[in-house]
Amino acid sequence: NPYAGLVSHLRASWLSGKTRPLEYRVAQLEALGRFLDDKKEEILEATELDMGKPSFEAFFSEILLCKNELNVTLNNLCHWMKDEHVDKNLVMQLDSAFIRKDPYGVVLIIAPWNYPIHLFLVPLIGAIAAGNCAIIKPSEISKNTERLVAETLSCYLDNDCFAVVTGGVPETTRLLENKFDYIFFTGSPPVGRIVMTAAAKHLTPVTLELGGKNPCYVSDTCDVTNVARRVAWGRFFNAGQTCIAPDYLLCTVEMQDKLMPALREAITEFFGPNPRESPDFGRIVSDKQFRRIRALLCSGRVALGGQTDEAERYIAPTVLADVLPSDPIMQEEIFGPILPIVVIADMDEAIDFINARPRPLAIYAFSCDSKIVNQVLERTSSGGFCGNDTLMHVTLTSLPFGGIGNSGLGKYHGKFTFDTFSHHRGCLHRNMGLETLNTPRYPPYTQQKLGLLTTTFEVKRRGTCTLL
Amino acid sequence: MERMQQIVGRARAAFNSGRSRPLEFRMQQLKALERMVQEKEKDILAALKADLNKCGHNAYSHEILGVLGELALVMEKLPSWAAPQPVQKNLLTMRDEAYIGYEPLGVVLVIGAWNYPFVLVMQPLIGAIAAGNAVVVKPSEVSENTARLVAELLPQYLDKELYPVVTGGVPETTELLTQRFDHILYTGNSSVGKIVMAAAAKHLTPVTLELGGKSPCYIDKDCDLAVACRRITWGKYMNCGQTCIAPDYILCDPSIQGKVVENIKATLKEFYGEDVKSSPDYERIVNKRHFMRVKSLLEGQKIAHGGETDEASCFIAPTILTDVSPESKVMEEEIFGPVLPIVTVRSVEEAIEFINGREKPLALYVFSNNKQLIRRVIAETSSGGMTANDVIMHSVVPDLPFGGVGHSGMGAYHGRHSFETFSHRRACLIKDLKMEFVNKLRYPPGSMEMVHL
Repeated sequence: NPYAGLVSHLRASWLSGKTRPLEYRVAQLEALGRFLDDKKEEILEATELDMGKPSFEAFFSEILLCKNELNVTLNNLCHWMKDEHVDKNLVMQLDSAFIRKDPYGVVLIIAPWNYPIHLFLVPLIGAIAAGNCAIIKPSEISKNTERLVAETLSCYLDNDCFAVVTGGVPETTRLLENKFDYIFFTGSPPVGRIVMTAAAKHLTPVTLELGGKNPCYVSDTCDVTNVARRVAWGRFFNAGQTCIAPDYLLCTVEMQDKLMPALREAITEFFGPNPRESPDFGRIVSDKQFRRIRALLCSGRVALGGQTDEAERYIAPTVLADVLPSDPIMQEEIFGPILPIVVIADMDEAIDFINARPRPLAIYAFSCDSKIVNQVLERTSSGGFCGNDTLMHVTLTSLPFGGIGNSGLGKYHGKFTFDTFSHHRGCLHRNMGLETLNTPRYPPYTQQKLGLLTTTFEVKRRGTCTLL
Repeated sequence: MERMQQIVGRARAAFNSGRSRPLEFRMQQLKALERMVQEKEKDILAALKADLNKCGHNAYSHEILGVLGELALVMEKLPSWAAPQPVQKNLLTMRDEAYIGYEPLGVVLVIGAWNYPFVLVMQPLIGAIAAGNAVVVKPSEVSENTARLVAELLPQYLDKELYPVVTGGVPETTELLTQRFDHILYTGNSSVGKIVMAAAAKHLTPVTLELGGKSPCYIDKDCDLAVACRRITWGKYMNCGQTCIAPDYILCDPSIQGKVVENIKATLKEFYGEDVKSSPDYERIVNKRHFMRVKSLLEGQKIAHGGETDEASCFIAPTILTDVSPESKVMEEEIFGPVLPIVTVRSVEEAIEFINGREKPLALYVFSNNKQLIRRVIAETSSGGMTANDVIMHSVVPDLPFGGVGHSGMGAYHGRHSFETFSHRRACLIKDLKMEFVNKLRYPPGSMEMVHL
């Protein structure tokens, strides 16, 4: 077991208790902040090399959003760490009942390649804030970022408590043989199953941030220009390689006709007449992904874009019209800059379409009529939901971010990350006196004792008479 | 295979119909459960007596009272728990609606255990119904009278398709676990817990595992031994030691070991009289297999009190073992019987080290007059839950989460925590289609000045 030494080293640090004091956690978090500041240019460069990530996007997702999470955590950590006192019943008025936030121990964070800094760093913020030690396993596919993280993170964090492990599938498989106290995984559902199965062997709790096909319903009553912009932005950000990107669009044939020129205009507005020359449009991360996505183009008909260049791993911002549910592009999560439009007759059909498929990470609905937006929300199920925009619900740190069913289990962001990496321990600190109050529970049992017990422990419905 | 598929399929179709979602429906089902417990109290107590020789008092206070209390609490709080929770917004979302919506997960599987066979299916069921789910209930086959009763009663009071009861043993449970559920709550032992989680992994089903372990009980020299020992005796020997959060073993200084034994002996006499076997308040081991298992733990041990057994009635007397070696069999697995080993330690440091050298337990107990010492034990150990200066009681505070950590489990329930366990917290952001100028900040072409600031 090649990682046994590393894991037991971290476990020893954990048992020493050094990660627990607030001051220690704050110091490590501030060091992460310095990492983001010092290495900003290197991060922008590495992500550009890895997938042509536009600097603007990289700054937004890899630096800005991460710093937001850091600041929310640093601002609130002291409060989050406090014991949470709870209501007590009559017999326990002199006792102290509270929920303690205990760290788990040594946690494992496995990150994917599409937002390679963000998707290890934001979980790591919560792991550190909650007092754990952590092993970080960045994706080998975004290899420049992997190298950057492996080489520089150790200059900022305590190496006795935090380590970076690099490698591919074989290394990750060996790593998963070890016992961790929590595993946080972001990636695809099939690998999510493998991670959870490995975790089951050690009874390790997990958070799985997975994916799926995020539907985007556009009703007939809407401001077409704004819809087109918001959908295009969400779809083509990071060249479509976003787990919460609108994956496909559902609308009537009339709306499809209206949307097409609006989408064309939005794409031109964003990326100019030739997106290939725009510094603001990304590339596909690998040849394998490029070929996979390119193969999906033979679905429906290409209404906008469709150009590709293998050498550059460039796929133009593309919109496919009249796509059928049986087309290749509707069989898997696209994870590329192609927006298929599937025509439906009305909102009910759209809702049925969505509900017939695995529950996605996000659902989007656009309409000027708020009743329609609410109908879609109420009659479907998804990790999260955004009405009249795309992606934005995950930028609010007060909202939990996670999936349901095939799109994942668990949630994070803001306080939810701290809570994810803490064990909520129910604690009762009783008084040694007042032993007579306990008499009704002791044998030998009598009817009178039972009556007393019932009275003191029963939760009475409001409106009924309460004794004492 | 067919049968399980049909039962779960029917529950799923019933859930998809949407009828379990409205609050009025959930309240109606919960009220029906309340009526069931009140009307069928005698039958429930009889089943518990048949399964575990549980006397009326214990059966009522441990199983029925708890269920009625939970029902009352949930029915009172459900409207507030189920309401969408608005969240703090930022500058960009000031004019939007941002909230967390509580939604049902779908079809939930509840697998009960045999030691508190009624409450361990009812309490999760209550939470799952409250959260709007369909629920497949699988009571333990070991407590067969209660299982049969639950299978008979639930369809008489609840929606038959939404809340089916499945009975059977290992083969039936294995079959059931091949079906897809949206959450599984399992109460039982760690080995089976691993099997449940592995089965759940195939469908990416979240799980709550309420497992077990050896719950340590540290008695400090500075404490009222008489009171401490009375409370420990109560928690250890109730239900004949078959309680997942019973104090499993005692850690104390050798100088007080003798006094601890004396005090427990005195309390036992107070509780059960001279002849424990004839006390109507003392239970029995659930079956021969567990009887033999617990009996074998006595081999080679110094029995300070008790030790009598009677196979025919699965009786094991309340037993205390002294100077127990940490390597002995009785210190390996969860005892789940009326045998209380005392392991001596010379300091609280040694006790903490001892506890931390083992798997994280479901519960942890410490008795001391010294608040600092108690705080220290809490801070330097990890356990599902804990009580200081008493045992068991943290599990009856309705607002405390009840669950394990590490080998003793994952997830938690009881009260509001059940509702949250069985709900999906969906992030919702509802924006306006107007105010587009605000969005222009984020659209390409990007401002490079902003990046290089």
